[in-house]
Amino acid sequence: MAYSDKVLDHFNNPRNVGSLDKNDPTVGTGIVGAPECGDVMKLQIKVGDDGRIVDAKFKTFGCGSAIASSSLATEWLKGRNVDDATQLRNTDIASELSLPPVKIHCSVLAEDAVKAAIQDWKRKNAAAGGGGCGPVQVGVSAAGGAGAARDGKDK
Amino acid sequence: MSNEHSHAGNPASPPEDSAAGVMTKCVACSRELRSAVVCDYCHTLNPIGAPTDYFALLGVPRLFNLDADELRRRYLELSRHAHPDFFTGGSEESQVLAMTISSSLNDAYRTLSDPFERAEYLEELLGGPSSAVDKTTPQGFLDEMMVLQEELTEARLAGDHLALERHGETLRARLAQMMARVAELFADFESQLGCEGIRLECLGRIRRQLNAVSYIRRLVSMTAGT
Repeated sequence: MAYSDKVLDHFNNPRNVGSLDKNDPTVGTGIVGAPECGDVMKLQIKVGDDGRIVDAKFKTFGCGSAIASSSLATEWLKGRNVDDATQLRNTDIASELSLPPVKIHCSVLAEDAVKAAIQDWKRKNAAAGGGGCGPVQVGVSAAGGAGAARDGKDK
Repeated sequence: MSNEHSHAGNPASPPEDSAAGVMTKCVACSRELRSAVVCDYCHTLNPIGAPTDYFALLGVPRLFNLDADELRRRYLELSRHAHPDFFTGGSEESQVLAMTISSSLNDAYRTLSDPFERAEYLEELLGGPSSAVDKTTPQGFLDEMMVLQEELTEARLAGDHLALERHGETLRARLAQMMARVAELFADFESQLGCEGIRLECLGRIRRQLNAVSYIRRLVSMTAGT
């Protein structure tokens, strides 16, 4: 079964590959795996003061569909509010990429990674900020170099 | 049940683990079948009945801790009697049967002779959770896998065969250790006859161990040749 054009596009030209500082309190990290095939996926989000996802990165060791699924997921996440991001469903990814039934689990993995990243971010901010995510301490040194700030001009 | 009074009597204690299957009788000589498909006495091929698992096909106890030599001996012995070449002059039915049985024996041996495949197969047979249902791995394990994947990919891209070899050696040793643990876990399971709750717990533990093993296997394959 051949890969769809969209899968090939994301596979050959993956968006947002890389890492964010996992110790940064504004960064949420999700690492998930599929023991059936040995795939491992890391997906990270960086959330701004207003609750919007300002950056997303991923690293995936797996098949083309797993790479494409996580690549697409990071694209969708950028610019969204964290709460909206929890709405992302694997079926959205699967239909966008026209994944065949045997590859649906790759999109499930991407959904799991997104959920885990958001959960990690929420956990960090519940612990650090006390109630709510209101006063996020804007990071010292504003080291934009943290790997983020790639573009900055989404809407 | 309708057979003549061969002195099979009632199998008070089946020779092997009773879980290996209901003792059935050979269609030709009515003696008890050890392998579900090839009679050990008259070598007649018996049709594959209802759901027959790989252990029953080869007539070995349904255990993880099998003697590899004995398994191989069983496979070769049964395959010899079921070889389709011996049935070329027979009825079409017997030819098909020989073919079906031979290929089933091959499947069974291929799975049971590989410790990992055997463990996965047995885990499922015993009603343990599948890796799709329980994906759990130890805390921090996936992070470590991520780092190792990165290192291996880098070594590969750089053509650093020495590094790959070193990783391969470490990973193979780790895999062997992890499989030894799988063997222990199955032994735990087997020693808990009658304790359903504990047995279920054992199967859960085996599942999680096998999950971790499958990632390491993937890494080992990355270090191999090519």
